[in-house]
Amino acid sequence: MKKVFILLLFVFIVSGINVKGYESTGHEGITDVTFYDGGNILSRMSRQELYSGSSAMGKNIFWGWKTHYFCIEDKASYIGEIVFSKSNKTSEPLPITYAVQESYSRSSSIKVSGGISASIKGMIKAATISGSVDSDIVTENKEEYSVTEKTNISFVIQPNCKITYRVTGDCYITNGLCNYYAFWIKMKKGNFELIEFETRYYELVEEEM
Amino acid sequence: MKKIYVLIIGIFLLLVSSIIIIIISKNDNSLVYTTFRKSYSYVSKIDEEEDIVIIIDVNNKDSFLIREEAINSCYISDKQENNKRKLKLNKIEYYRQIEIDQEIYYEYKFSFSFPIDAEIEEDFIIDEAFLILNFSDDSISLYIGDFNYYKVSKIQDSSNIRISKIKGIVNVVDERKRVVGLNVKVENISSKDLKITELNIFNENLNFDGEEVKILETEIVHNKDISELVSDYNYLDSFSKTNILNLIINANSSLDLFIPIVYIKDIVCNEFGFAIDFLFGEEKETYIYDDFIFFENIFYEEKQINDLNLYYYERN
Repeated sequence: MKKVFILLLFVFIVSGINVKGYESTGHEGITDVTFYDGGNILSRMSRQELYSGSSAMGKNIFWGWKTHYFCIEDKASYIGEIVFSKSNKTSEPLPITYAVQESYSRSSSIKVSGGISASIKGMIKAATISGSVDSDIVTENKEEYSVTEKTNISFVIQPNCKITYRVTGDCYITNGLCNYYAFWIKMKKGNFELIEFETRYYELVEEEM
Repeated sequence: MKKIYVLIIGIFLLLVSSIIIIIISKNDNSLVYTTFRKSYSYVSKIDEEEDIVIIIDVNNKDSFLIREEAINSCYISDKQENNKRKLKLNKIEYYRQIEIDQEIYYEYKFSFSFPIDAEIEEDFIIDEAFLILNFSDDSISLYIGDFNYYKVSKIQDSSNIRISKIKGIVNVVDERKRVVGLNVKVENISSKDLKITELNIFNENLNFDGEEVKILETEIVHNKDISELVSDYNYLDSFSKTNILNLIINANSSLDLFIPIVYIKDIVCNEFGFAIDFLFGEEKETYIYDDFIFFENIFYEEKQINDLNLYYYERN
């Protein structure tokens, strides 16, 4: 048994485990968010913070949705996706041309979880949610627009260097909790977070490997 | 009694057909269209075709204006049509829906290119540029902003100098987001010192301010307040500035630079190329950097919407 265990451990170590990239913000393509005047995103809130939001909702209502906002359109900066990254492991300079035409410029990203349905739409300003979430799964819906202009980026990557073309920007964040009541009984509960993108800044950086 | 029924059905059919005719004729004949003016800035090699994208907003998805087959020819021109060039229409693509003054408009990306016929370096500059679209029985002219188009023989081609970092510093100035400076890392990859003597932008309305170039010791963010880098910065103070400088980069070393940008007039340009002139020994060289998109606004700014010209078209 011990030998089998050691063998399995060896196989894991040698083959490596394919771990899917995880974004700490919980929003696809957004690796980090920094609020200008304080604030937090849901994925970084402690249980206590979430609980305090829930408590702040107060008494149950007769019918309908009740919402608690942690922040409403609070301005933040974000670090977005890497449009491309290319390294040169050879000993010769490597000239390349990259056509930026398939990249997408999103206007917003929204995540809802818990038993929140499409009827939350009216609660989040400018949110676009289609479909509904009836179980405890997390879903997201986003609008995607192609970039305004196609552009070719030509450059030479020096030996043992890596070039990265990345996006950062400004955004507005709205998030909170909501409960749905029927006859004062809480029927559904969940949380939501909307990121509305304002600006995309592009940056090209070469770094030594 | 039967006659009354026939009469009622007749009147009903007449009404329905009239409504259909009105809707069809409205779809085809009346149109409101516009474009958000900007500063178009292109630099490319002589033998390369540059993609020129102009977004046109229309209030009618069924309009003739967005049918590729309806457009016979198109030009970029000045107002008097003294200086104009034929464009090749490559495609028209639906982009997105927007709202202007509570009216829905549909944005379409018109992709053009100039036929490659240049054999030498050249430019085509129009300060107030119009897009002219000719149809079989009519034509429209649309003020698009200013247009800067350059053809050069070499781009990013030097064995002495290279750029290993580029980003724009963007501030809200005069109600619009504008590139107020560049952060570029310039490397001298030769074994001799070189001297940067001049900086130029491939846009007639933008200039570098050579006197206020800063050597950076730490990283700066995209939205760094320019007043912390340049005291008394005035984006429209182009005429008192010089793009001449005297900056030595030692052999096999680099400088992380902040280069302020000043404007000749109130425009927004989010994409442009630039040139660095330098002395390598006694020899003068120019290093040209290709167009780079520094930033994009996801939504139009209030000032842009307020400055918008709506064009009303009624086909006879």
